[in-house]
Amino acid sequence: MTLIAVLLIVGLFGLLGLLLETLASRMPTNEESLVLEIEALLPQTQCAQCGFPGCRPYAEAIARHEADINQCPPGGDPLILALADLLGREPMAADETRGRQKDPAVAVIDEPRCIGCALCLKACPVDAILGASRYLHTVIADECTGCELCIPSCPVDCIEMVDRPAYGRLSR
Amino acid sequence: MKPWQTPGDFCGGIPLADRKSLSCEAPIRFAGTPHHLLYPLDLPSGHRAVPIVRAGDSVKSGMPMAICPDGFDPPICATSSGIVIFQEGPSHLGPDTPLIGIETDGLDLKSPPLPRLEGEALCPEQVLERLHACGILGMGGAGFPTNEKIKRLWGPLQLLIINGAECEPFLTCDERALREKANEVLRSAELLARIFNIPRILVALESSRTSAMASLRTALNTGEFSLCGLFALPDRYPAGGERQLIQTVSGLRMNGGTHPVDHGMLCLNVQTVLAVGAAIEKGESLTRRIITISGSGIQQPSNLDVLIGTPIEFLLEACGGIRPGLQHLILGGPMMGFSVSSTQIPVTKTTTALLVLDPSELPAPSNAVEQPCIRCGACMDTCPQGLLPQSLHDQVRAKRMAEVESLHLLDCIECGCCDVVCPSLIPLTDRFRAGKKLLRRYLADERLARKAQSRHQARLARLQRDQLEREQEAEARKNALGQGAQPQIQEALERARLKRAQRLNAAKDSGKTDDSEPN
Repeated sequence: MTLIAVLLIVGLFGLLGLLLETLASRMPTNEESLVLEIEALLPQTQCAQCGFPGCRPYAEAIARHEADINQCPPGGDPLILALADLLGREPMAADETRGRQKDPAVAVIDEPRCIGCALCLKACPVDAILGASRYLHTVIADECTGCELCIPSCPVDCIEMVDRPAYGRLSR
Repeated sequence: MKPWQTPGDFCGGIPLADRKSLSCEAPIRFAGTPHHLLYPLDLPSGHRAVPIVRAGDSVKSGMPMAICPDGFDPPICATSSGIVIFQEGPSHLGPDTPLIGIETDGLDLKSPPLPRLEGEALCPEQVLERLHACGILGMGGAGFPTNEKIKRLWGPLQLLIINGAECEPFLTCDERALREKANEVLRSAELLARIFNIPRILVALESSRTSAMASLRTALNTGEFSLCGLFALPDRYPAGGERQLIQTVSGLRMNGGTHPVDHGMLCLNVQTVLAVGAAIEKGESLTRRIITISGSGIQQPSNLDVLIGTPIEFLLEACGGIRPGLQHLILGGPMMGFSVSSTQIPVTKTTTALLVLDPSELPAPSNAVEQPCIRCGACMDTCPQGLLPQSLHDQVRAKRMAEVESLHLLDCIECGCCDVVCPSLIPLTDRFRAGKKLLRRYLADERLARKAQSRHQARLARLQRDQLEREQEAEARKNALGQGAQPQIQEALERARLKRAQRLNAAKDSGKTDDSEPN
């Protein structure tokens, strides 16, 4: 009788343990979900001014305590406050050695000067430049994040930053 | 049961002292042509129009002077004849709004009207085009282009509602228009109903507007207008708001992003209907509108038929001027209108009234000292959109935009009811207006960020795939060379040798023929 009870309880616990284990493996781990939450706050310009190759790697570094929360110039102070809020860390002054927060801008290619070298296509982190080798390039303004990564890549300096066009009617 | 749960009513709202008797008895009169007519280039939709005339050009009434680049808003048309001027003007839209203007010549020459639409041409497409060309937009305040409003339609229309409700105190221009032009309004409405196959028309106005009701009944009793009916609205502000009107008439509470046409209903202001009729039947552009000039600071409160673009200074003179000591000018109604400081501001298509008030006449005190919120919940009970103004206020102040959006700030119609009932005198509507701007910006940024994120991820995936493919290819080539490729190499060498031998033979042959040719 006792044996049956013991076996039953051991079996039940084993089953429940397995169930919990499979469920847990399906859920994102704590660190993963934290990375996702941090990434959702970052401005997604992918400009690499933080010293990491994109917003995702920076989010991962923050989650691992390998980077400070003040390294993102496009996010500016609001981002620092939001990150401090999320992570329970002290807000800190923005790290101005990495750049300053600027007004929203987009890149524009001065088309007569473009030589069609296709170097900027490789530099753009969001594939917002349309073109091919020895064909005219142009920036899709709607897709441009204003990261300025294309500017140093241009051998003839024909890319400029201009103010992002005014926010139009927002479709709801 | 709360009062708004009865059928034929809307949520919340407040009764306001109507003050309409000041101006509702005097008949509409034409204000005259001022020396200057001015038109702001910034349009109600937020776009800026581009001038298509130059300074010094002469224009006639009805000629387009500036167009909207994306074709959403109708063109800005001249409303009298004269010479074009440009001006950086003071405007209630902002101090740096450019204006396009006319120095009038007093002749009021008209450009030839467009042909009357009849027979075959009376089809929806042509009518919508005509409404755009004639500059017709919602004249109740929001200024949404009428053709765009109808264009959103995808199913049949069941009901045309003529919005004759003027729930704001002092305003009587639509009532006056209904009293004097009831037949014209109903005829235009029936015309529109026939074109768009609408089976029923309701003219909705507050139950207290008895004279306007009477003249509408007289018109209806002629039996000429079989589709039309009357609908009495509760005497409570904001009964004339589009969403409130729809809820009262049909019991339907529209949520967030939907519009009346999505539910088969079209809601048009009285003066818009008149303008639509004139555009279709006479081909006339929208050049005039009726405006209430009222308030205790006006010598002769009245309703004036004014040319669009008339500076308000001219209208104040036409009504006998301002009583000394009263300087508080409001463009629009006291609840939703704007305080203005300059008398050079022109009347636009969406201006409903010009009021000169004593500060005590304002429903919500404008410069009172704000007290902390005491969580009484009065704003919540009065909000006609069923929002939670006190939570919204907290979140807007804290700039927590994600929460602000989930509390539906964009559904706020800025009616000002919460300001009136707030015992702590918090200027809630002002905060919400500012909050909406921030929220629109936040949503646009958010949308861009999500798009950039997914594009960046797609790019990374693509680069990785390319890299992998290159590696696999290199691997495959190396493997092929490494193990047992000897026979293939031998074969290739054999082929090359054979080819060279053939080429040599061919050269020998051709050499012979070359030698023999000259003989």
